[in-house]
Amino acid sequence: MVRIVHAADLHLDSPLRGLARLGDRGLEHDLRAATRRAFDNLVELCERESAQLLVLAGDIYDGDWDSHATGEYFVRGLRRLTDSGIAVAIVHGNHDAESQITRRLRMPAGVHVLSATQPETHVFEDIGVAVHGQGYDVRDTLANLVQHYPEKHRDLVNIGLLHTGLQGIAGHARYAPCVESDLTACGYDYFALGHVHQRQQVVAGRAPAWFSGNLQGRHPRETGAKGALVVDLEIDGQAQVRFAECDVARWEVLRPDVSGCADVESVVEAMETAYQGVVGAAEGRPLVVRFEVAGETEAASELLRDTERLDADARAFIRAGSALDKVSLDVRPSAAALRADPELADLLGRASGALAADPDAVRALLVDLRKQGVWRLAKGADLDLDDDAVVTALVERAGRELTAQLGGGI
Amino acid sequence: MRLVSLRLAPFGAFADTTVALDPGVTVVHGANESGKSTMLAACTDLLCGIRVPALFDFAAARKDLRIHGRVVLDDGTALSVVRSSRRAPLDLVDEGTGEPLDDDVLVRFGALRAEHLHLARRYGLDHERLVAGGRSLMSGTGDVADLVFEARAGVDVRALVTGMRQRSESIYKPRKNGNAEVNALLEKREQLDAELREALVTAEQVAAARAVEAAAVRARDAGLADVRTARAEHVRLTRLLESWTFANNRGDAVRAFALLDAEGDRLDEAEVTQVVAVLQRLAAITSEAAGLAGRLSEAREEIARLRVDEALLPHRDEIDTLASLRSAIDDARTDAVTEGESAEAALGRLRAALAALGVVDLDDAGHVLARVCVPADTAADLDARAARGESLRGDVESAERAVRVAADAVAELSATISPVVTDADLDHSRLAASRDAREQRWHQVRAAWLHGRAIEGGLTPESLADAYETAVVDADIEADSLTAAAGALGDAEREAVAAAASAAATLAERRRAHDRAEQELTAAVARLETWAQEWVAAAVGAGLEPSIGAAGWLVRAAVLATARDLAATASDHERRHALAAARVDQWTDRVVALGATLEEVVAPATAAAFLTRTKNALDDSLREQKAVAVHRGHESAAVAALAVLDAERLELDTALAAVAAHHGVEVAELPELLARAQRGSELTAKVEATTALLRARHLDDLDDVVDSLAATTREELVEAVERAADDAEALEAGVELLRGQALRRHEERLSLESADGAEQLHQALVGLDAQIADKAEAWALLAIKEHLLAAEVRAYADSHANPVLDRAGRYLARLTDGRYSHVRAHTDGTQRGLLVVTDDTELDAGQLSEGTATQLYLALVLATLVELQQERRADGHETLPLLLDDVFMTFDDNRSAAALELLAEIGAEQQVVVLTHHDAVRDAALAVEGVAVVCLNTRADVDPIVVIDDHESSVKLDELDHDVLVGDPMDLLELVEHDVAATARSSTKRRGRGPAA
Repeated sequence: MVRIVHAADLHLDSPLRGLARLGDRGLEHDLRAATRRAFDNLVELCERESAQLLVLAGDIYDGDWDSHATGEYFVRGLRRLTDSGIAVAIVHGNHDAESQITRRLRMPAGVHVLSATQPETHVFEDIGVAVHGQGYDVRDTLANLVQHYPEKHRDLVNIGLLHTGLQGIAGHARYAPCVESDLTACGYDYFALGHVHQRQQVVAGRAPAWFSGNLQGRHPRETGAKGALVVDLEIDGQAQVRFAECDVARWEVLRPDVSGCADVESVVEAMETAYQGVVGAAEGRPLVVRFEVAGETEAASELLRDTERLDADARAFIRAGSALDKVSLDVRPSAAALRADPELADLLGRASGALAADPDAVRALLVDLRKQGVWRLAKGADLDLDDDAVVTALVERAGRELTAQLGGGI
Repeated sequence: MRLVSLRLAPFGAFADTTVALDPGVTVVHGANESGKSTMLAACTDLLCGIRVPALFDFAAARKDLRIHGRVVLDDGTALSVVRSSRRAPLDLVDEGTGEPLDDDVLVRFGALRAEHLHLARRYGLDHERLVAGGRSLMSGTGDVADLVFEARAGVDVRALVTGMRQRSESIYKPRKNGNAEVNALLEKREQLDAELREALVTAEQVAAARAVEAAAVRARDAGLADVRTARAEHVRLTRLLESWTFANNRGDAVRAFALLDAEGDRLDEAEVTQVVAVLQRLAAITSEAAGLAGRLSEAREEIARLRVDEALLPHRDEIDTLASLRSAIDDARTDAVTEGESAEAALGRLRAALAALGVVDLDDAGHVLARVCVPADTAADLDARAARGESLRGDVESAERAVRVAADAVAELSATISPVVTDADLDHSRLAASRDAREQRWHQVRAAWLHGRAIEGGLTPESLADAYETAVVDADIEADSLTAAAGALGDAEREAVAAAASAAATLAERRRAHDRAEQELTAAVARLETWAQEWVAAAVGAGLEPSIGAAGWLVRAAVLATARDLAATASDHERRHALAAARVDQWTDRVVALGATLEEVVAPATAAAFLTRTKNALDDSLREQKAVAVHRGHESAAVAALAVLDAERLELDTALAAVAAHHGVEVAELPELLARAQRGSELTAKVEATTALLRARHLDDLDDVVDSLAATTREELVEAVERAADDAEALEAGVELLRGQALRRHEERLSLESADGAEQLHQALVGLDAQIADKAEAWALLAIKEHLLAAEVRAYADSHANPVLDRAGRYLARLTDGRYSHVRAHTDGTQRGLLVVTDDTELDAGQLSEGTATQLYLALVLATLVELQQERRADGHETLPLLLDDVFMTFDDNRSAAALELLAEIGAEQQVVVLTHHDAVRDAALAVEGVAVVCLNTRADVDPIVVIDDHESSVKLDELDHDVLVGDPMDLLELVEHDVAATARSSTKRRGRGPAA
């Protein structure tokens, strides 16, 4: 019986988005080294589980982050593993192909990086395992790599390593695309996949294929427990797969139902209830919470009049050890509550509709943001004003907010 | 709706004051601090709710404030309500019932719930806005669109836009270094970025650092290699220089050798060895021989010098013996003297002792001694007698003591004995009595028993028996006691007697003892006398004086003993003395004899000295004799050796001669040949040595070296060496620098590799970016909203502007007394402006004077408000009174009058309340038909409100001061109810009744 640990998408030293908003300096500090600490946890996991082999299915680094120290940290961790007698097999992913660190870093003995130019098999004889895989030598590796993977070895446990987007995500490049049947065709005992950050099983059965997911969520869209997979394998036997968490902080997005709220207090109550519901899920780890308060609600105009109040109220009920990422507000008043002149509201609606349909006109309004690089920076922080959908949403939101503000009169 | 009356109870400074308002136009006049603002606030508070914070709670607490209002709704419903600060729905209750209003009523009333500010803004106008509005019209910025929109939307569009712009600007300014949030973030970001770039150590940098380090190391190593080369060169040259000397020497040697050869023949090696050896040996022999000869002569000299005294030698033993005895003899001499002295001393003491005995004149102590001596046995006897005498005397003394003691004892005891007195007094009487009694009873018993007589005394036989028994017993008892007493007494007597007897006995004993002691004493004395007699006899027998006592005898005996000892001692000493002296003499004689033998006359006194002298001489001679022997030995040895040497010399000379003959020279020439040969080998050796040295230094290239050395001068070579040394030094200095550089590069690389912390900065940077994005979003929203709002305002105003403008024109005409007749809007591209039309021409609003612009603004506002109210009425909403606060401040009298006339017109359609502190306005108001005037008094002692309503006659206020003229609100209400259906307002003027009525 061979025990391996399967992890991927470490993205060491990749920054966590939105930490500056936390307002809790201690927590901010703790979370900064989160990816590194998650990696430490992975190393400890391997030792604790007495794994014989660690397979990393790509994206060790962030492509454009070049710090030598990051590489050093990774190598130190690997060395700890090899000193404990645990072998390591790695394939490079799209980020690694881009990264300078990959080019320069020397791996310790006992760590085997599979070739990036052709499929390779590495046999770990003392544990009776053959690892097959091919890494990326350039970022945009768009060929189906797995179709050329080597034959399995009899009398050894066969493990496949692949960094892939499977059939791809809309709008994103399809990295090493393949389908499930390509994976099963290899006939290995287990396929260790990387690239998709959400842990999931791709192929079920005797010889499963899994995405292990990343070790640590880095922004609010990566919620839930993160970590690695501990896999027990036998030659031609049933793989036993088990999840083990490695992350040091969790993210949650909460969307409380505010449709029945008449005022700000009830909105805050709804938020707090939603928060209480998830606070235990982090199991003692720092929990970073983002609220998305949206929808039609009576409290809309009150909310919109003072957007920062909600933030402050939320911070009041967030406990120590949790933190608030932000409260995003996208509410509109119910029609009944609208006190503005209906004609006025109607006109506003048409005007915002007309503007929303013309994203370029909107961009012309916002041209000042191009100065001093704000446009570009915002894009890097997930506000992509070049995206029509984003611009349209902004206009619609502006329209709603304005209507609510105007509706505050008699 | 219209406000009919307000009762402030309390509110602000008013404790309980009622103000009646005209359903049309009411001008409320009051000086500053009279309560105008309070009035205004009360109006809005009644409608909107007591505001928080209550500004008018300075006299009474907010919770106590009460505003009672009589209102008439548009549909004619009359309400009396009370507004308080209680929570809805109790904040507005019916005055009569105290219950909240009915819902449908409340809807009409409560639909007005709004901000106080909105109310004042939307349905009112104050001085500031009027002025500002006028100015903005003048400057062409304000326009009717804003006005209309504002009126419609109830929002101060300008304020909204300004607010948005302010917020927008505080968020972001497009120019660098603008003071805005995003700009500050950008600056911070730049800083962080710079820090990050500094802190970030990329893998490339590390690789580069490694390369730089490697290069530095290579440079250093190259430098070291160069140094080594230079040093090697220096060494080579130095060696050459050294070799110069050797090469030079070699050449010299070679040349010298050649010369030598030319000189002549030389010995070969073997011969050299031989000849050298021979010559050496010959020389040695010569010196040896010389030495020996010297020794020989020395020995002979010595021998000659030494002298031995032959004469003494035969007597050696004797001399030795005598000499050896010398010390003993010296001791004997000393002893003799000592003994003699001791003998003398003893004799002296003896004389002294004998003198003590009275024997003087002692010439021969021994003789005298013999004379006074007492033979030993006699002496012993005398001693014994003396001792016995002593003891006998002792006995006598003790016997005397015993007698004394015994006598004392007797005396003591005699004193204590006293006669025995016995006291034999015993009381027999009781015994006798009891016996009598018994007798009696016996007689009775006898009489009764034996004689059968009757018992006397009335006793029965039994009792008689008892009585007799009793008597018997009594008698017995008495007898016993008497016996006991007697016994006791007898005992005492006996004791006393016994004691007396024993005492007597003791006394007798003591007396007897005493007697015995006396007897003893007598005996002892007798013995002593006997002894004394015997003593005398003995003493005489011994030749002593009889008077000498035992004690004297003893003393004498002691002295004699001593004397004897001394005599013995003396004679001992004398004997010894004699012996010693004899020895000395004997010895001396021998010495003298010896002297005689030696033909010397020796006196005994000088014998010792002679002997010493002789002995010394003997010793000397013996010594010298030995020395002579030694020297003789030397002599013969030397002679022998000399002979040997001579023989050898002969041999060697022969050998030399042979060699010389071999070379055909004389022997005397041999040294020359030898020298030559030696020089030859020296030179050969020199050549060989230098050649070897050179070869050792220049293994392979000896010939080259030699040639090159030949080609250069020494000076040149020296220079070359120095140059080479300098070069090497310079290079070494350079290497030091390179070494330092290599080390620094190494350290730099290490510090780069260990640098960490960049990812923290990166994280912070990303955080900043997120913040910037958030603010950019907010800014974008504001920009969009502003754009939408502006578009809105335009669009909205477009559809609603015209009726307003028409009305405004009419109002303007009234205000300006027909000077300006119309107001129009125009579009000039994107600009919208207002035109006013005069008789001849159109003027842009910007061309108006401030006063006229103000009038225009007033006209526009009034027009807008009235239009709005009409629309509201048409929509079924309640109308509200217009509240104009000090809007006539800049108006001159004419304009004020004109404005009031206009307001009176408007008042027909709806209620208008005008507040002012201008007396002129008040007076003008009084003159206008349809305008009521309310005065607020500042005098504390007078009720504050005065209603003046008389425009037919101007009433001076002063005259009204003391009258409180307040209308009964109910009366007013009735009237109003009747009037309200008509658009013409009630022109009822009432003079209020005084309170007394």
